[in-house]
Order: sequence, then structure tokens, then C-alpha cells
Amino acid sequence: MPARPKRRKKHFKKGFVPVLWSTLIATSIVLLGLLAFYVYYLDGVVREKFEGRRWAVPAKVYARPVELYPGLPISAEQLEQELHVAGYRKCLEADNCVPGGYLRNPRGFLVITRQFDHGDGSELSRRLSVNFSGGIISKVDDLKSGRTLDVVRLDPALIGSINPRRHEDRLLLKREDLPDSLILTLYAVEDRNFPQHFGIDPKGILRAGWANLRAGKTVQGGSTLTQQLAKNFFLSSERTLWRKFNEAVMALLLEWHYDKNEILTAYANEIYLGQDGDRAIHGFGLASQFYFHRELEFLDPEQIALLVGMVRGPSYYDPRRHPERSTDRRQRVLEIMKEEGIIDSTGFQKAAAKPLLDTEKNRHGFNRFPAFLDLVRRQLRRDYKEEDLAAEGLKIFTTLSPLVQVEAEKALTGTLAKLESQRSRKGIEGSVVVTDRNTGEVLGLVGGRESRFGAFNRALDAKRPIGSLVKPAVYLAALEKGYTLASVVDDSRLSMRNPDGSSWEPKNFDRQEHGAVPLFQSLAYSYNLATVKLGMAIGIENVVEVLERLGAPQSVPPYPSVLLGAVPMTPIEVCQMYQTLTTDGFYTPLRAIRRVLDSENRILTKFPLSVEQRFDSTDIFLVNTALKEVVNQGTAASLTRYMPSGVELAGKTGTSDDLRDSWFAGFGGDLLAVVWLGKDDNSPAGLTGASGALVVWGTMMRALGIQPLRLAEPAGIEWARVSGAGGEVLLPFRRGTAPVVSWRPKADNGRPGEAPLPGRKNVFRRLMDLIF
Amino acid sequence: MVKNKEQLTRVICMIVLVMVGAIIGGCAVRKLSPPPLVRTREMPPAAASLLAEAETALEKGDAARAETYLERAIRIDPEGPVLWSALAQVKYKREQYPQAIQMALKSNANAAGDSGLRRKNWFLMEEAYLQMGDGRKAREARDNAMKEDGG
Repeated sequence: MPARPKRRKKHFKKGFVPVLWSTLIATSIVLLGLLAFYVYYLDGVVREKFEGRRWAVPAKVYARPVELYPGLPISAEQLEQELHVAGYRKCLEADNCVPGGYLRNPRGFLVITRQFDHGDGSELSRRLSVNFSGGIISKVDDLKSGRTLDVVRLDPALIGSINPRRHEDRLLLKREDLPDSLILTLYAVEDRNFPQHFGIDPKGILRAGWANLRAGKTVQGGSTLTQQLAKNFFLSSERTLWRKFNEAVMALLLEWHYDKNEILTAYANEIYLGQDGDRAIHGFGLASQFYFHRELEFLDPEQIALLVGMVRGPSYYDPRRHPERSTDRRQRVLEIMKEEGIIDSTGFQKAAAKPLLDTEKNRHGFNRFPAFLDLVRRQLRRDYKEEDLAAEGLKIFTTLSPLVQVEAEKALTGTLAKLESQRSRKGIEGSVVVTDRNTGEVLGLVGGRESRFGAFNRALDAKRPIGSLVKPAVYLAALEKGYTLASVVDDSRLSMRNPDGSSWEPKNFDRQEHGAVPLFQSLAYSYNLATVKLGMAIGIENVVEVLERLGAPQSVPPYPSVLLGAVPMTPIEVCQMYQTLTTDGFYTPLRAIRRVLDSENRILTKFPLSVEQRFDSTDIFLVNTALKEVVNQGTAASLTRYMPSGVELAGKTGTSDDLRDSWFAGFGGDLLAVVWLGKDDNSPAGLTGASGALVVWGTMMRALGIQPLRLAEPAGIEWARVSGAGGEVLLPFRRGTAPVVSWRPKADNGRPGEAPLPGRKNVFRRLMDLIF
Repeated sequence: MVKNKEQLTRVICMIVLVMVGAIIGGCAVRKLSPPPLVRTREMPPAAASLLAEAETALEKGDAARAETYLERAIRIDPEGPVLWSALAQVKYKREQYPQAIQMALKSNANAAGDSGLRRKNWFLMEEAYLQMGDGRKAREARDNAMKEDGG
């Protein structure tokens, strides 16, 4: 027993160091194991981020491309505006004009287009001479080939991207897209040893440390490009040693897995370079577009210097918010570029003298039209998953005409401001939908006075009673039942029972009764009493059926009040109905998207033009002629104030009870537009269709130079003069139904609701029929 | 009775008048056709050029591309009945028969003055209806085609 303590002591003496060692070794092994596990974890993160993020490119949304051809009615100012929205820049001289540049000359334009793949064929970059004469394009020449072109398609304006999850955006570049001057400058400024080091650069750290020590503050960073890339993988920007450690490990791992070119490309696409509202600008490609509206490859040295200089602190050196700091920084980078021989001293002097950014106002179209993008998103959601839109690099080709959109916005906000100042009204809102009269493509959409993402989109979501905009459906139903434009209708007092037992006594807007009037006049002057009587005579269910065929969205209840527009609809739904009128009775679904391309420019989905004949083109021709009379002499006569003489248009005003809603729907040869004005809380806005919505419509269409309406006359039409309130007018009739003698209104001679059908033919016509 | 006589007299007068007119004019007496309701329209060169591209694409069997060219042409010249007729043919080639018929109808709606084109469109509709197995509609289309003169 006594030996035991001794042995124990001996053991203690002998074993202390080994135990310490073994503990140390064990701890080290555990720590190393943990470290290995952690590195393994980081490796997973690095690989996932690198592989995954390389391809996370949000869907890009483009406006419709401008087609230039002789005969295109567009002014030089309008073309210049189109070019600006598409990110084109005015060149200083013709010789230095690069793709994405233009120059105005006395005859027209020099435009250097950018190469672009439209999915149905690639348009090469061209040097175009575009000549104007008398408000139209007279000639388009390709200056490279010397050929005169029949038609040429420009690269479209990028109007937005779809990235619902993170508010990040980038334009993905490949290694060969990165210009040498950018890469050399980047190395010189940020990471001299990038081609040689293994992720971290001890020499660089020492050099930076020494420089900082001498300066007494941080003047250089020791982080390699690889470390900076790793840093971007974290969302937080805390500056701790632990994070530095993580960055270093990840940088080593990145270099282990990927080659320098891959890392450089990822860096160029990942680097954060500024903020545009809630959109973060990532990568040199997007930054080049964002700050200079041109492709990276066409940047001048001072522009490269600005971007590379911003890497250090995009908000600190933001050229828009802090131009002095930004200029100093650019100057420093330009000096480095000169020292490194990337530019010579003349180049340096020229570059240093250039302005920081374009002096001209930023007028590009990116994310400028949120209400239209909202429509595009909704249409896309039917076919695509959100994550595909966010990450697959899809290209969405829309129907938006930036020109139309801009004028629609201007007309709405301008008119509302004027209306409010004139009569001390407040809080009036409005919306506008403009489509191509013939194809149903949505060219512009304004959801309200405020244009921002997430704002209430009245064009799509505000359902309001359409008032008299319903009337063309009533008259169309009557024409289908054999009435003619000269049929007599009775505009006199009436009283009806509602389904709930209450009585309904509609009134005319002017509180008058007009007695027996010809049908076209009743529509032109929007007589309520005559319309209700006509609707009741032909049957409300027939009117409802016509509404549905026109494209009214929901089943409309067949109440008499429907005849005066007690049907709530959104502006875009109204537009769909009128589209059927403008397209000769062919229902033409409204479209905001033409096609969707994948990242390799293959067409994934096409939304082709489609039509469906739902009305006889003669009936439509007749009702459209009456809608022309609305503008010629009726409730929309004030429209002529906005138009040059001789521009014939058709349209319809609409006003709901107590002046709550002011509507105008109208069309010319090329455009159809529906305008709504009113208050969000549905209180009276104090505007009629003519004093409100029509003013917006007229202002917009004057600016756009709407084309006159020439209705295509179908076969089998005859013409006759008919007298109405506005004098005698020449009206079309289905052959054999024209009245013999012009109908003249006399007191009490009308036999309401009775159509002179078939019209008695005069003797001469009968003879002609006999002979021929 | 009196009325009939009066009418007859007028008819005879009219016939005489017309014949005299024709003889004075030195023309062979033939059925006078009314002036075309729509002036034969000229296609803008831009649309004509795209139509030519569409035809080339169609010859190469690329109906999808032809369709894109025609849609572009129609945006430039939306009332050009020849373009809609060509689009009808493309839809037919792509076996989209209901749309082929609709495009042909649309062409007809804009071709009031061109009975030759209308006739061609009706025949295309006949074919499309046959493909859809609708014999009755096909016959109707054929009848309509035969009614167009100038064929």
C-alpha cells in the first residue's frame, strides 16, 4: 500500500508533460477537425454561391423595337426621344460615334444602332442615315453598305427587370465582354498581383499596411479581388476580424476551385456599384448602362476610371450625389492608368477634362413605367413561375411604345394639375390605356398620377361605372336588329320599376326631352331617354349579349340601368370592348407581350396576333360612323380644339351619376385610348366626360399626332343624307335600307321605335337595280 | 297599273339612254361595273419588303418566321388585305385552322374592292373548314367564293 503514493507521485512526475501534450494534441485535433468541418462548410457556401449566383439573372423587359421606314409618321423630336429612352447618347462628332450613339443633322439623324438578337433574327449594328421631310421619314440609308433600306428595326429600350425577391439587378457579362483597359485598371487600382496570387496576397497586405502607416490613415486596401468577391457573398457589411478570416478562407477556396478567368468574370458581374432607388446596381455591365447608357466595350477611359474608382465605396463616391469626391477619385484612377501605361498623357489630359456624367438629363427608360410593368408581370404570371422570372435570364419583349407612354403620363398629370388649379378641385385621380387600334397591342398604360412600383394601378384595378361608354353597345344591338342610323327613336320622359320595386326615372344630361330623333343623333348627343327606350325595345338581354361579345369581362346583369352604364369596369376592360369596335368587329385580345426568350435567345413563348370575328363588319361600320358624329357634332365636339382640321376621329364620352366618373374612349387611324378621371373615394369629381377625360385624351393625341380615321367601307353600303340636330349629314346604310326622303324632325310626327325598314327605295335606284 | 306603265317607260328610257351613251362613247356595250368601293391600295414599300421576306421564309418551310415578318408588316400597314391573306395562309400551313379562317375573314373585311383576293380567301377558308371536318361551312365558303366575280 505505501508504495502506491510513491508510484502515483512518480507517475504524476513522469506523466505531466505527456498529458499536457496529449491534451494539447487532442484539443488541436478537435480544433482542426472543427476547422476542417468549418472550412468544409465554407466550401459548400462558396461553391453554392459561386455556381448558383453566376446564373441568377432577372428577366429583362424590353419595349417594342422602333421600326424605321420611309413613310413612318414621326417627328425628329419624337425619334430623338425614342433614342433617349433606348439609352442612345448624342455623339460629339460623327467619327467618334459608337453603337448606341446618334447625331442630329439638318436633314435628319445619324444613328449607330446596337447589334441585337430579337429572337426572330439578329439585327446587326448599322450606321444609319435617317432623313425627314414633312413630318415623316423620307429615306433610311445604311452608310456601311450604301444601300437604301425599306425597313430597319432598332434595338429596343430596356424598360425593366423582374426580380421580386431581392432588389438586385445585373447584366450578365462573359469574360470576353470585359475590355482590357477595364481589367488592367482594375488590377492596377485594386489588386496588382491578381494573376499570380492564390487568393490572398501577403505582399499586397504588407504594401497596403506600409502605405497606411505612412499616411496615418487607410489609403490602400490589402484585399484581393478574390477576397472582395468572397465579401460580396455575405449580405452584411460588418468589419470584424472573424469576417476577414472568413473572407480569406473563402478566397483560398475560390482559387482552389475556379480559375482566374472565372473568378474575374464573377467579380465583374457581382461587384456592387451603386443604387437606383430600391434597385441595387451590380456588375460593370449594368453600371455602364446605368451611369453612361452604353455597352461596357464602348466606355471611354474616364468612364472606366469612374467605375473602377467606385469599387472602393459606391455610395461614398456616387457621382450623382457626391460629384467632387467622385471627380477626385476618378482623377486618382486616371493618374494610375497613366503611370501604368494604360493611357498616354494626351489621353490622360483629354479624359481628365471630360464631364463626370452626361450633362444631358437622364432620360433612359429603365424602370420608368411601373404601371405597364405591372401589366406585364400579371400576364407573365399565368405562364411562368416567379423564380424563373427572377433567375433564368429570360428576355421579355413587350408592346410598350415609350413615346406613347411618356405622352400619356404627361397629358394625365398636366391636365389634372390644370383642372385642379382652375376650379379648386382636389384629389382627382386618373388612368389611361392606349392600344394600337388595329392589333390590340397595349402601347401605354398609366395607373395614376404617381408613377412608382406598388402604387394603385387604376388602369387595371379601378372598377367604375362606365356611364355612356356603354351606349355604342345599345346602338350596335339595335343595328343588328334591323334599325338604321336614320331610324326614329323617341327621347321623352319615362319611368320604370326596378327589380326591388323602386321606380327609376332617368333624365337627360341637359334635363330636356328631345322628342323624335334619328338614331345616330341620339348616340352623337348621348340622349339617355332615347337610349333607354331603344334598349327596352330591342331587349336588354340583347344589349348584354352584345356587351359580352364586344369583350366585357363578366356577365352583366340585365337591368334597365345597364343601358345607361351602371356597369362597373376597369379602364383596360373598357378598352378591350372598344378594341372590337376599332377592328371591324373582330375581337382582338389586348396584348402587352409579344414573346419571351430564354437566355440563349430561343423563343419560349409567343403571344401572336389573334382575331375572332364577332360582328358583321357592316354593323360595325355603321356604329363607328355614328361615333364619328359624336366628335363631329355631338358631345365630343370640343375635341376638334386639339386637332388640326381634317383629322377625323371617333369616340364616346361617358359621365356617371353626380359627375363621379369622367370617361372618354376614342380612336383614330392608328391609336385607341380610354381615359378615366375620378376620385378614389368615389365622391363627385365635378367633371363630365368632355370636361375631364376628353381633355386628357385630346392633349395626348395632339402630342402623338394621331392619324385620321378612315373607316374601311364594307361591300354593300349605300349613302343618304339625313337631317339631325347638327344639320344634314351623309350617312351609310346597308344596301336597300336608306331612307327615300331625308328625314326631318317635326313636332309629333315621329313614330318612336319604328324603323323605316326596309327603306323604300327611290325610283331611280330601283331602275338602276333593274338594269344592272 | 299606271304606276307599272310609268315604270316601264322609265326603264325603256333608261336603257335607251345608256345604250346611246355607250355608243357615243365608242365603247362596246357591256355591263357597267360600279367604281371599286376602295381604291386599289398601294402597299408601303416597308410592308412589301417584309411580305417578301415572309414569302421567302415560307418557301424555306419556316412558317413561324414568316408569321413574325407578317405581324411586323401588319403593324406597318394594318389594313393591307394582302398581308392578312398571307397571314391566313401561314396559319393554315401551321395547321391553326380556326385562326386561318379568322385571318381570311379579316382580309375580306378590308378587301371590299378586290374580289379576286376575296375569292382566294374564301377558298382558303373552304380548305380550312374541310381540315376541321366541317363540310357544311366548307360548302358555304365555296359558295361565297363562287359569288365573287372576277374569278
